Amino acid sequence: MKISGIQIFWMIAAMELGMTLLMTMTSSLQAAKQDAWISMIIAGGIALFIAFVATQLAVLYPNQTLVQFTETILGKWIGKFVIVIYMVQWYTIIPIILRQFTDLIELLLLPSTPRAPIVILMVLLVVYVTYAGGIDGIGRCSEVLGPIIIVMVLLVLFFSLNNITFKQILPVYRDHGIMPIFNGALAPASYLGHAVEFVMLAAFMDNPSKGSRYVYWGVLIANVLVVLSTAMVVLTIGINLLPTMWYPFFEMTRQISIFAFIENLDAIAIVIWISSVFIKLAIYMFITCYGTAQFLKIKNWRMLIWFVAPFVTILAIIPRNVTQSTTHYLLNYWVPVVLPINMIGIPLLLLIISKIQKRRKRANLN
Amino acid sequence: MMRMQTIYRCLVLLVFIICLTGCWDSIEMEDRAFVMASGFDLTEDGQVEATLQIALPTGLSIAMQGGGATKEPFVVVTDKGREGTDILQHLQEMISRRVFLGHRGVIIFGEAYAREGIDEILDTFLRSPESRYTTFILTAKGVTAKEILNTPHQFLEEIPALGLKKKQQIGISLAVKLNEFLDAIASDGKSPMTGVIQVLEKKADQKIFKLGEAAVYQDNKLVGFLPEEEMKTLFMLRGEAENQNLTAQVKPIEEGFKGTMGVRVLRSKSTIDIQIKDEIPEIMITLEARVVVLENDSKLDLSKEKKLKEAESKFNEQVDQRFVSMLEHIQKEFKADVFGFGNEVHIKHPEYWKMNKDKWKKIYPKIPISTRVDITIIGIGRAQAPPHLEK
Repeated sequence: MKISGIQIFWMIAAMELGMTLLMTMTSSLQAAKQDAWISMIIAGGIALFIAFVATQLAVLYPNQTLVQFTETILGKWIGKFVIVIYMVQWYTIIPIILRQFTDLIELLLLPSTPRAPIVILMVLLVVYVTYAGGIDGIGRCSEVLGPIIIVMVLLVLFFSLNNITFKQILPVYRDHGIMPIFNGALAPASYLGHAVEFVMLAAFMDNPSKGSRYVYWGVLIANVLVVLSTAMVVLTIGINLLPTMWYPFFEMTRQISIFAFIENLDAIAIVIWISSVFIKLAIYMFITCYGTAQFLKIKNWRMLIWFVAPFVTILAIIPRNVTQSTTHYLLNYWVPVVLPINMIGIPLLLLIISKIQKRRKRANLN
Repeated sequence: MMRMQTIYRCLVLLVFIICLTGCWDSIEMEDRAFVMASGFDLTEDGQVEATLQIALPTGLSIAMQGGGATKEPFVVVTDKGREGTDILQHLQEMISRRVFLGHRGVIIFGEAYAREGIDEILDTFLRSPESRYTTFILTAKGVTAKEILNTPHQFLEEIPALGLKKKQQIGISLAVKLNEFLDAIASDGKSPMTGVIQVLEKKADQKIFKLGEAAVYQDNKLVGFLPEEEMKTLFMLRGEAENQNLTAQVKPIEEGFKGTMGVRVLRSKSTIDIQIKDEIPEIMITLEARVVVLENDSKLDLSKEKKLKEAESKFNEQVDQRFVSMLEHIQKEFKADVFGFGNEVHIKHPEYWKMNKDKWKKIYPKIPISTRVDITIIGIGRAQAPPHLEK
């Protein structure tokens, strides 16, 4: 299975854009109010740093995934322990995203439909693309869906232009100071930091060293659009109502009204959302199955789909309400644990250690 | 291997077929009742009475064919209850189709209900997924919302609610959408207001809706109405006065001339300057407008520069009077910050706002506001002097 640089770009852009837009805006808006767009810029900076560390690390071990080279760097047992930390992340993020996806569909489109069919349908779709296509199938899907997502986001932003009240984004900065703005940056940074998965995907590239450019561009494009969208959301809806809304981007889409004719464009936002969720879930499904297979030294990684898929399906149906699935997970696990440890800390550690090891080897050879 | 693949494919097909037979959630068009407008009134025993005007798709074609029975293409249902969800159920029980609010164009609050406080139904507007932000809000004056929604069709529109929505979309009278209304309620620095709907009876059976005044709210209670002339100055303050017409008495009444002049505003702008003195903001407002003359019933020959300036200064004077009167109404009588001076203070003096925003309701009525009006006549139409002016 081989993937190209462009596919990496689209995979990262697609999976980051939709999710960050719809899931993390609320927490930034609550923390930084009308300065949330500044938070997004900071989040982008953090994410680019994560991308930098991840690409540097992946380049050192071409043709090896994180699972393989962690054991090389840290030794067998510590390495396995570190991998388990990542597995916790992968095995829990899939059900959570599935749950968030189902909640949104249930709220806006299908209120009386029971949750299980919606979850199962999406899981089946993801299973199909992972099984039949592998990572290059997923890459090709991203090449198709990615541009659609970006066009839809731009359309929404463009159509919302005549709903703007410029004053609503003022006063800039003076209300809050740096701390709330920085706090607001953490949640989106943790979503944009999904670029760290490049450490698993780089092994499938022909030329991983060239891959770093595509990762940066993916994060950058996603970030620029998120900054613009956050600013637009504040400009159109205003901070009085925003912090109580679950899905600000979606609410902005509902307000679009051109010539009193083009209205009720909810469908566009739904397309963005579903496409992005699909790509993200597919990538994670692949990483989880392939990673677990490498970890347990199983040859046929596809077999693991039959285990992972039911597991995440059941886990997705368990949480009782939307607060549990969204807020608790985000605030109690993702931001305080995954962001500093999985995305920044461990890759940085691995990078430093392996650089030291390589230097020692060179010194020994000399 | 082939066997496995075939079985797998059949399973997938089966799943899709099961799902395509119909969702749990689909409701056919004929099973939906499209609510075009809702109205809320207060009953004598303090309950909320809700009225829905529902469009009849089949009724439209009957009405257009004319002939026999003049059936109205809409249906009105009314019931009362304790709060929104309660009433909604009552109303649904009266209709054979599922109530669908997605196309609602107008929400009308009856005057008595608005004065009492509209909090019962306020939250449903934001929370329910069917509610649209592009719905207009109107306050009924001198008539209940129920009466308005029961009034049959106006000149050109089959369904009165659609006619109302279109009138609001034209935008000459104050048109406040739901999101603007909710935003003002949620805001510390601004008070909500809505357009006003009244009913004029030209003949016994022909009623016409009139829009034009403004209803001023404090939090979620109606506190008063702004007359039309003062409303125009509020438009100018908001910079939204295009297509408004202003009149002024530019000369005293003389033989053969009433001395009035009428202009149409092309563009309007306001500049607001705020200084903090002695812990209170002092506001200086300049209203600017560029107008064209529509009608001149005075001896002023507008082709002469001096006469033009004279007309302009008379306009400045009189519009300023109405402006000051409007400010007195909203500031001292209603104590409602409908323009959003609080927001302006927030933007220009954020530190002061942070300290004082909880006291804004007390500070606002005391703020000294000085005004200046600057109207420029940039066009006088096709004629220079009125036809009945003797040379």
